[in-house]
Amino acid sequence: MSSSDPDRIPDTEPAPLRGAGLILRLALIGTVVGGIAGLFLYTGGWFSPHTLSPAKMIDAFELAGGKHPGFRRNHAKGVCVSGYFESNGQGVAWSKAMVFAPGRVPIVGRFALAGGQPYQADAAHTVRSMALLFKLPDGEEWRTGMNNIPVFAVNSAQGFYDLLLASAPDPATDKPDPAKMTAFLEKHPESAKAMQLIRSQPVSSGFADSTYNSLNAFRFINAKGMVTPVRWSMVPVQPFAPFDAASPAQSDKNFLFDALIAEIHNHPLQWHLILTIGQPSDPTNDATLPWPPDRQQVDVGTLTIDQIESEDTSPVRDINFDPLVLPNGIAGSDDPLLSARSAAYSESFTRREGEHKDPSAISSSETGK
Amino acid sequence: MANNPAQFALLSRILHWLMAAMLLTMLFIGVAMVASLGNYHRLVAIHRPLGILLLILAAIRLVNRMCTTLPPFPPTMSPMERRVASASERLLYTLMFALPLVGWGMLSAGHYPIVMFGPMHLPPILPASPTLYAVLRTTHTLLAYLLFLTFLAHLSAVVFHTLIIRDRLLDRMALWPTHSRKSKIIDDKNPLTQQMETPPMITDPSSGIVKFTSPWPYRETVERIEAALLAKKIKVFANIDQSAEAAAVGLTLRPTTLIIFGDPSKGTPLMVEHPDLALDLPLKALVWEASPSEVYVGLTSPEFLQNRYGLPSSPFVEVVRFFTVLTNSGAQP
Repeated sequence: MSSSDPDRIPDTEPAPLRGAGLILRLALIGTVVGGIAGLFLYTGGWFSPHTLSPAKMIDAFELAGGKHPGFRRNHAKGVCVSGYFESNGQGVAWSKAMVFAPGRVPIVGRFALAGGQPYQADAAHTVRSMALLFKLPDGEEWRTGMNNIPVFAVNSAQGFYDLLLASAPDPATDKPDPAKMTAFLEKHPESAKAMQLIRSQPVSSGFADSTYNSLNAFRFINAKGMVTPVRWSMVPVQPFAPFDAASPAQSDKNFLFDALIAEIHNHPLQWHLILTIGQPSDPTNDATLPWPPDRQQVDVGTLTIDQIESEDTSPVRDINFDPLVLPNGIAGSDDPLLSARSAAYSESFTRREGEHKDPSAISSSETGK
Repeated sequence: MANNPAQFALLSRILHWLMAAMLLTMLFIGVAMVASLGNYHRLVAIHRPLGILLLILAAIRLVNRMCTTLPPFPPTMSPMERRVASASERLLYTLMFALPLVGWGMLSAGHYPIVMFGPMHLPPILPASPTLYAVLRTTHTLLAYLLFLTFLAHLSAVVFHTLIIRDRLLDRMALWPTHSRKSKIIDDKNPLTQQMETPPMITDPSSGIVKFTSPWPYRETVERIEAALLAKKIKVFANIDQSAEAAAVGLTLRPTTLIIFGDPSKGTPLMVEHPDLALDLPLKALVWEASPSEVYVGLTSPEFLQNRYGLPSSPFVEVVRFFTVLTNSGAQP
């Protein structure tokens, strides 16, 4: 900036840069600023499109189950419930979480069938889930999503992604390609073993007499700071009845949900919350592996479900049952599926919350019956 | 460490660098976590409380910003550049508040508990609503990209000034010893130091005008003179924007303002004694912008007034001293 004004105070600026010096300095600026921008994009995964991301994971769910805007990308068909959990105080020895102090906390929850199709017909062998949100007195929350299978079918996000691609319908036949599933099981022997264990377990007659398992391991921290690996289960008070393959009720596409609705209208349903206390040698990072059957089991309280409501009217439709929303006293383990579930659920939640909502298969007229 | 008028206040500089590091960390955590399956939870657990901490720091920073005087822009910045710099500062302040608030609101609308650490959590600030969540979730991302771009622009401008123009712009925000301050003690041959020590005053006895170089931009010079006069309980009778008057008749004049000021308790006795002195009282100060980097303040010289009206002494030397101190206050190293 120069001026011809003769009164001008002598300039404090150094002489303007020219030639190589100028180009070198401009190049340095470009490198620094461009480098930071590049690092930012790299961190955001722009340069690694083949790395598995939450968005790719949910894309795979949409591929396997079809795209159904407004619905959860997995466990899409469901119904909302509420009730309470009554702690007997036994859990205090393992966790300082307020939910285990003797007394009652309200819960809301959701029963659902695995899969991305919100209008699929109920089937005995479709995985059933119970998701719960415990509302602790101090405002903390404990959210959990449990399944009626003894172990999970995969032990990593990549395994889940591969399974989704293997079970996606072939565009030519509109059915999954058996060759792809065979290839998947060869690539993932841990899944082959887990699926065998899942198939060996007898299936119960409905939602009410199913046992729901946390599948992932968590860490329980008590008031003294002792950390214990724990898996938990909701074990029904309702007596187990094996599924009757000859039952004529199966012709109704909502027969499992209809039975659940009728039972809750008849009397509250109850489950015992059973902690399985892990030993240091028990695998916490692999949800496909069962823990030894002789592990200590502690009954820490009773869940009572006495209300049922359609997703069309219940606020529970818009709750993300992220398994890492945990109260102080429960923490995630080293199981890589936990962070992956948290990330993928968040992506699914963000997609569906911005979409138009179609009515649930389990409508208010069903739940009111 | 004493505050240097050519620098931002110490607290401002500490907040600037602390928040710069934290905001950049936040932006990287944010962009990493939405792309990550394996580290998602760990990153979110840092992102949430760090965002709230940044909101608290932004509030402290805003209060500090309103309570402190800024160092002048260097003369190497054109009026356009100054406008852009001020606008980007406002944008950065807005984003420092908007990002954590939108994040907090988005979690509230999404029915999430706003977990800080341990059992500590914050209350929701918005009702649970799917639509609200979806809008705020997108807004959060867009604002974060906007913050990152604004940061890149800010960084580019400062590095350009430091490496190409070499006007020591960065020294204003330095937490480290700067060259100009060191030179004051150890290097008095440095032309920069010598320059700083020369009073920015030029007197031309033949014209009867005392002329000062202002260390501030044009508008700020006018504001500072008026504020300093008022602080001394000296009355400002009029502020005549000559360039605006020119524009009103369709002509162009460089930015020029005439400030008419005085203290009737001191001027009245003089006018009682010398009736014609009222031609030059109240006193006048002229501020004009010769070029964006050159702003001057002109006064009628005390000697000229003394001769013109045959005064036995010059009561106006005091006024020149006042303007010397004022224009020096912004130029000291």
